[in-house]
Amino acid sequence: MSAERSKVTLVVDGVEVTADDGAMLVDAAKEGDVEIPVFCYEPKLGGPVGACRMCLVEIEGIPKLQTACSTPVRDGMVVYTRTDRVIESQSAVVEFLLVNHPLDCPVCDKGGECPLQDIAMGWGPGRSRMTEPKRHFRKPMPLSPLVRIDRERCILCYRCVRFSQDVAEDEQLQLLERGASSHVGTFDDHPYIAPFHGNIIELCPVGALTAEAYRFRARPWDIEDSGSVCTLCPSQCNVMFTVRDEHVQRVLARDNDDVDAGWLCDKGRFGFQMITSEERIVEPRVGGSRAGWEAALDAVAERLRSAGERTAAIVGGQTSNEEGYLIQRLLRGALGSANITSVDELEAGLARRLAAPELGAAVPDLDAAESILVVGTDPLNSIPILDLRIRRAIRQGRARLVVASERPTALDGGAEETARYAPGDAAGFLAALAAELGNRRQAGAGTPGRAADEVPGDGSDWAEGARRIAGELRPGKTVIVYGERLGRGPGGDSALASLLECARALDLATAGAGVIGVPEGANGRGLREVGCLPGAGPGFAEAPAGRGLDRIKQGLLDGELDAVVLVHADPIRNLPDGPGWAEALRRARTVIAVSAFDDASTETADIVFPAESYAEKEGTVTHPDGRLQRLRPAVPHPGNVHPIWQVLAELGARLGHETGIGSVPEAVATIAAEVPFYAGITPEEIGGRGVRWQERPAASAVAELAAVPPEQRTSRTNLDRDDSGTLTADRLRLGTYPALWADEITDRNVALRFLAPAQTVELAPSDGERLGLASGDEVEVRSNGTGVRARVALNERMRPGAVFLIEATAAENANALPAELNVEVIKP
Amino acid sequence: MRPTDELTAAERRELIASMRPEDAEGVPALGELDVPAALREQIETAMARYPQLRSAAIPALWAVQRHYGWCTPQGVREAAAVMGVTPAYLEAVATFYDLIATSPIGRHRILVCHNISCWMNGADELLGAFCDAAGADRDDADQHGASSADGEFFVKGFECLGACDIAPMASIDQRYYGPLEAADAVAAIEALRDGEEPLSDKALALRPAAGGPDPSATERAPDAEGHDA
Repeated sequence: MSAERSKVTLVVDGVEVTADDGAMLVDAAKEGDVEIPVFCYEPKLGGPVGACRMCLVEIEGIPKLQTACSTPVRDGMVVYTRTDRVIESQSAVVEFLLVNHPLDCPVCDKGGECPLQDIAMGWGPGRSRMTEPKRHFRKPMPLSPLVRIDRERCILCYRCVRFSQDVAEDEQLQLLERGASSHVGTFDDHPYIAPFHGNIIELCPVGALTAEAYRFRARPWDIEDSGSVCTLCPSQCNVMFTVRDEHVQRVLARDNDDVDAGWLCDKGRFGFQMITSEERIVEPRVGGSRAGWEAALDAVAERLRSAGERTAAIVGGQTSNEEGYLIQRLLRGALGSANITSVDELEAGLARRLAAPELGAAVPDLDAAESILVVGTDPLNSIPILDLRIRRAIRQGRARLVVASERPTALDGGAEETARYAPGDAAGFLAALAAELGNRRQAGAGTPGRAADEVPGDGSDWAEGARRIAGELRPGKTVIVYGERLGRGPGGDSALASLLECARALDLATAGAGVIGVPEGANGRGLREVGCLPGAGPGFAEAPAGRGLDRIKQGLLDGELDAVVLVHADPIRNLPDGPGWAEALRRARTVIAVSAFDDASTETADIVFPAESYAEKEGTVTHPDGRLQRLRPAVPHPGNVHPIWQVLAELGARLGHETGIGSVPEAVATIAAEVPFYAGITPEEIGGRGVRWQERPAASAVAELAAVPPEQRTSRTNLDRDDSGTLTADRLRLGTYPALWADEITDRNVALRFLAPAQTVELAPSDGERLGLASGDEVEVRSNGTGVRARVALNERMRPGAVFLIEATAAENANALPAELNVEVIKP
Repeated sequence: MRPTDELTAAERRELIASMRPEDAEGVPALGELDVPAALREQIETAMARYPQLRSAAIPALWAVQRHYGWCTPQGVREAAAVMGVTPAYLEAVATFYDLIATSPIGRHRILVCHNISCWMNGADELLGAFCDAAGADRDDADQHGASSADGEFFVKGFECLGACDIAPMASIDQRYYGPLEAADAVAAIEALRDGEEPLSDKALALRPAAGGPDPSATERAPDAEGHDA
C-alpha cells in the first residue's frame, strides 16, 4: 500500500530528501539523516498531538516555528533544524522540561537509555536558570503491583495517558489536576491494572514509570538485547529480551506492525520470571529420580519400542515447528503409530480447507477491512494483541465490528451488533448464519443494510441473531476472526463447515479479506501444518488415520494404547474432562512427559524430560495468519536441559529411524522439503520479521488446498442435539472459557500471581434472581455428581440460561467437571 | 498509601497482595450501584442535551456536587456508571475545575474575587472579613479555599468572577453580591447561619437594573442551571 504513495522532495538542512507524501516532517528528516528531537511523538499512539514543542523547526515561508511531528511534508519544502531560532527554542523547551525534573539520573533506572537524558545532552542549554524549589510528590508509588510511578520525574508528555485512552481504551489512567499541579493518576488512587498496562513503562520517555521487576536490576551498559518471539500465546508478538549475565531481566516489544503493532500484553512482558524459576525441571527423570540423558533416552527408547504402534503423542502449543515435526516423525516413522495430535486438533479435511492460502487473512488485513466478525472467541483471552488491533481498526473508523459468541467478550462495547448463542450451540448458529448469508447472496442482496424482514428466515432465535450479524458483513471486505475451539465437541465439525460456508458466501477468498483462526496453543497452526494432526502428515499430506484427543484418552483407559508422550502438554489441567485424563494417564503403561515444570500430568509420568523455555529455544513457529517466525535463543539452557529437537532426533535414531537432522536449520530444511507450501523456506528468509507462507511463490503450489469441494450444506439435522437456540429457565447450560490469566504461566511467575482468577460462575441477572443468587455469593456448580466451587458474578450481557466457568484455573478447574451441558448452581 | 521505597520487603509484598485486579476502576456496572433516582435523572437529562456524550461530564459532576455537597468518590462512580465512562475520566475533569470540589467543603460556598478591580477596591480585607466571620483559615482561603470547622462555610479567594462593576464582590452559593464591605461579610455569614437570605440589597440577580425581579419579592430566581441554589 505504502509503495503506491506518491513521493515528494524537500530539503532538510541543505540535504535533498525524498519522502512519502503525507509523511510527517520528523520522519521525512530521518531520510536525510537529520534527527529532530521528540518527546510526545509516538506514531503507535495514533495521530501526533504537538504537545511537547521539542520538535520545532523553521520552514521557509512560514514565519513561526512549526512542530515537525505534526507538519506533513510538501513538495519543495525547505526546512532548517539547526538555525539560531530553532536552537534557542530547543534549549528553551529542554530548560522548561527540566524545571521540575529532579535530574536524579545516577539512581534512575532509565539512566543511559533515557530520551530526556539524550535530548538534554544533545539539544539542551546545559544549565538552568531555575533556582525555585521543584515540585514534590511522594515517590515511588505503586501504580499497580507491576509498575511504579515517580511523579517528580514525569514531564507530562501524556504518552501513558494516551495509551490508556486511545490504545487500550480502558481510560483508567488520566492526567489529574491542572497547571503546576498536573499529575498522572487514577481514580481515587485505585491501582491501574489492565491486560496491557505494562506498555506504559516502555512508552515513558523518562524514568517516571518503571517496572517493579526491572528496578535496579541492570544498567544499559550491562545488558544485551536479544530478539525473538514470545510463544506464551498465539499472538506470537515480536519481543526483545534484555539479558544480563545470561538471565532474562526484561522483555520489550520489538515492533512488528504485521504482528503486534508494537505492543505487548502483560503476560508477554512480565512472564519471563518462570525462565529462571527454581521450580523448573532441569534434569531428566526416570521413575521419579534424576537420571543422565543416556539412561533416560535408553529407557524411553526401550519403552517406546515395546509400545510400538500402541503409542500416542499429544503436543502442546508451545512446541516449535521443528519439535512438532520430529515428534510426528518419531511416531509415524519410528513407531508406526498414527496417534499424533495437538491441543489444537481439527478434523484433517477441515484443517486443510481452513488453511487455504486464498482464504487466510493477514493481521494487517484487519486494519483495512470494512467489517470484522469475531466469532467463537474473545481475543482478549485467547490472542490478546488482536484485541488492541481490532480496537484500532474500529477507532480509525474503517471497520464495523460484529461479535457472535457464547460469552460476552471484551470487544462487545465497540461492536455494531452482538449475537449470543448458548454454549454448545455454535454449530446451529453458524448454520443459520451461513444460510442467511447464502440467501442474501442468492437474492443478489450482496449489498448490506437490507431490512432484516426482507430476508426469509425460520423465525428462530438463531435466525434472528444471524440476520443482524449478516446485515453488517460486507462481501469481499470482511475478516473473520474465529476461535478454533468452535471445532471442539460433537457439533464442532459442522460448526467449522458452516464457517467455511459463510466465508464462501462472503467471497472471502479475495485479497484483503479472509479468516484468521485463533488456536488454543501458541503454535497451534504450525503444529498442524507440520503434521501433528491425526490423519494428516506434514503439509496436510494424506496419512493413515490416527486417534484424536478423545480416542487417545479412551485408548489409554481401555488399554488399547500402552504409551503416551506429552510434549509441553498438561491434559489434566488444560483439556476438558481433566479427571478422565488423570485416570487415563494413571492407567497408561508408560507416560513420557516433556515439561518445564511439575504438574498434574508429569506426576503420572514415568520419564520426564526437562523442557526448554521459549527464551532458550531455537526454531520456527507459525503465526495464526501463516507467518513463519524465528525463535532465537537469548539465554543458555539451565542445568542439564537439552534442546528438545535434539532429544527427539536422538530418540528416533535409537529406535532405528535416522532423520539426518543434526541442527535446527537442517530441521527447517527437512520441513521445507516435506511441507509443499513451506517449500524452500530458510531461517534467513524468515529473518527477524517473519514471512507469511501465503505470500511466497510456493503457496501457489498448493492449489489443492484452495480447490475445496463444495461441502454439503450443514443442516440442523446433522447436529447431535436438535434443541432450539432458546433455553428454558429450569435448565442451566454450562460453557467454559479460557481466561487470560488462568494458566500455568500466571502461576509460575511470582509477579503475575495476583492476577490469577479465582473460579467464578457467570450468570445472567435474571437467572441470579430466579436462583436467589447475588454477585459474590459462594456456590457450587454441579454436574453429574461432581462439583466446582465458584463465586457468582452476575453479568448483564450474559445470555439467560447459560452459565460460564473458567478453564484451567489452579484450583476448582472447570475442566474437572464431566463434559455435560446441563448443570445446577447450588448454594451450599 | 506510602512510597514503596519506604516499605520493608514484607510490607511491599503485603501491599502488592492487597492490590487486586478487581480494584482497578473500569466503567462501573450500573446494576451494581444504587444511584439515587433524582441524581440519575439529572445526569441523563444532561446526557440527552448534547450530541457528544462526554459534553455531559461537567453537568453530571455538578449534579453530583449538588446531591452530595461535593464530588464524593461514590458520587463520581455513580455518575460514571450512568454515563458509561470510567470514574477516572470524570475525576480528571473534576480536578481540572475550581468550582468542582473533590474533597469535602463547607455547606455554603463563598468565593471572594481578588482579581485586579476587586483587589484595588479592598478584596483582601473582604476575604479576611469573611474568613474571620466564618471561622476559616485566612491563608488557606487565599490558596485552595478553606472550610470552617463547623462545616457550614467554605471561603476561597477566587480569580476574576467577571463582575468588576460591583467590585469588590463575592459569590455566595452561586449568586453575586457587591459592592461589599467588611460589615457585609459579617452580616452575610450571620444571615446564612440563621438560614436567611443574605444581603438581599446587594444581590446582583435581585436588582431590577440587572433584569432581576422586584427587590421586594422574596422568591429567589432560579440560577443558570435552572435549579434553585
